[in-house]
Amino acid sequence: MALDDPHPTSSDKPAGVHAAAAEASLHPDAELLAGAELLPCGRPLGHAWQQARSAAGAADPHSSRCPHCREAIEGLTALDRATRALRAEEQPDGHSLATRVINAVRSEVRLGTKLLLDDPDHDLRIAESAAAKVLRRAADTVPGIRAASCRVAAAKDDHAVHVVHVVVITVAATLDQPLRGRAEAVRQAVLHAAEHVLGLAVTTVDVEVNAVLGASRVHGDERHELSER
Amino acid sequence: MNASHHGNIHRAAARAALDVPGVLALQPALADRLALAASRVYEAVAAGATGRHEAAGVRCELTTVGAWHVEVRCILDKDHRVVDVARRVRENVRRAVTSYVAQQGRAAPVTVVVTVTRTV
Repeated sequence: MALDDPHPTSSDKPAGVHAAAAEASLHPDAELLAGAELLPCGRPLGHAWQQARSAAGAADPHSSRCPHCREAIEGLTALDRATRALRAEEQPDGHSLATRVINAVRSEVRLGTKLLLDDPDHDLRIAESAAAKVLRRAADTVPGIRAASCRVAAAKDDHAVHVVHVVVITVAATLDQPLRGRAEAVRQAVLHAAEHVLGLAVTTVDVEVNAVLGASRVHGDERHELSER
Repeated sequence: MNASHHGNIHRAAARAALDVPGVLALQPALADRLALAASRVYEAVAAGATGRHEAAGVRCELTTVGAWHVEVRCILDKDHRVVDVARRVRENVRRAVTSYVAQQGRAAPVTVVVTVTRTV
């Protein structure tokens, strides 16, 4: 209710309003804070304010039933809690606030572009970072391969009915097997994961080997961080 | 439609998404994250407005043509096929929101966009 709203005149008031107004006068502080605004049920807002600030939450039968009073009490309780938190809070540290804001923005940026999942309605999407992680993990299952980076992008084909994607994955590989076979195994693993783990239409997988792994570094299930990526 | 109805739609959509097997959590959008970062008081306000946290990760808007557009951002369990879970989320959320607005006597078309932000 706006502060300059005209209050109902005494002739407009429901029967309980006079009593309610009398109640409000018992709480001059609350009335001072909340004004003499009346809720649609006729109760003064100051009464709800008083109840919101009451530790015991002593709601009377009307307040516990009335949706207007309940809504006002709920909102004022939240406001009161926020006010108390502000009072208790130390002065905000500008640096940590900036750090939190930067981190929030960075984590959003890290999600990457949103890729359309393979669904005709085109309203299901996955963050590129999430898809790339799954595809890198799939490449890692190929013996002698360690995925380094993975980019996924929609293929540029304006005439395609379904959106399809191109994957570019960079890996390190051991040299104990021909690289062509290894690259083909990576491609198959990525295509399989795209379809069966994600449900993402991928038509092209480009595999780039940009580092050599020592054979001992990828024996068994043990995986080591690459010194060069 | 007032703020209370808007909040109820948020909560209905959030609950419907979280009910889908394979959905681990909802991921707040940047606006929610900035609000969290900007002020710890948000916590106090959010605690007072029941369900606000629960609904972070859901954005709802009433379009100019009177349809509800709902966006859900979720984190999924890696053991489920992503597109299958996303479809179930879309259907569950659409059904829940459609049902809520119909109960309010304001039947309106509902579109749902699901974004998977992570699998863990």
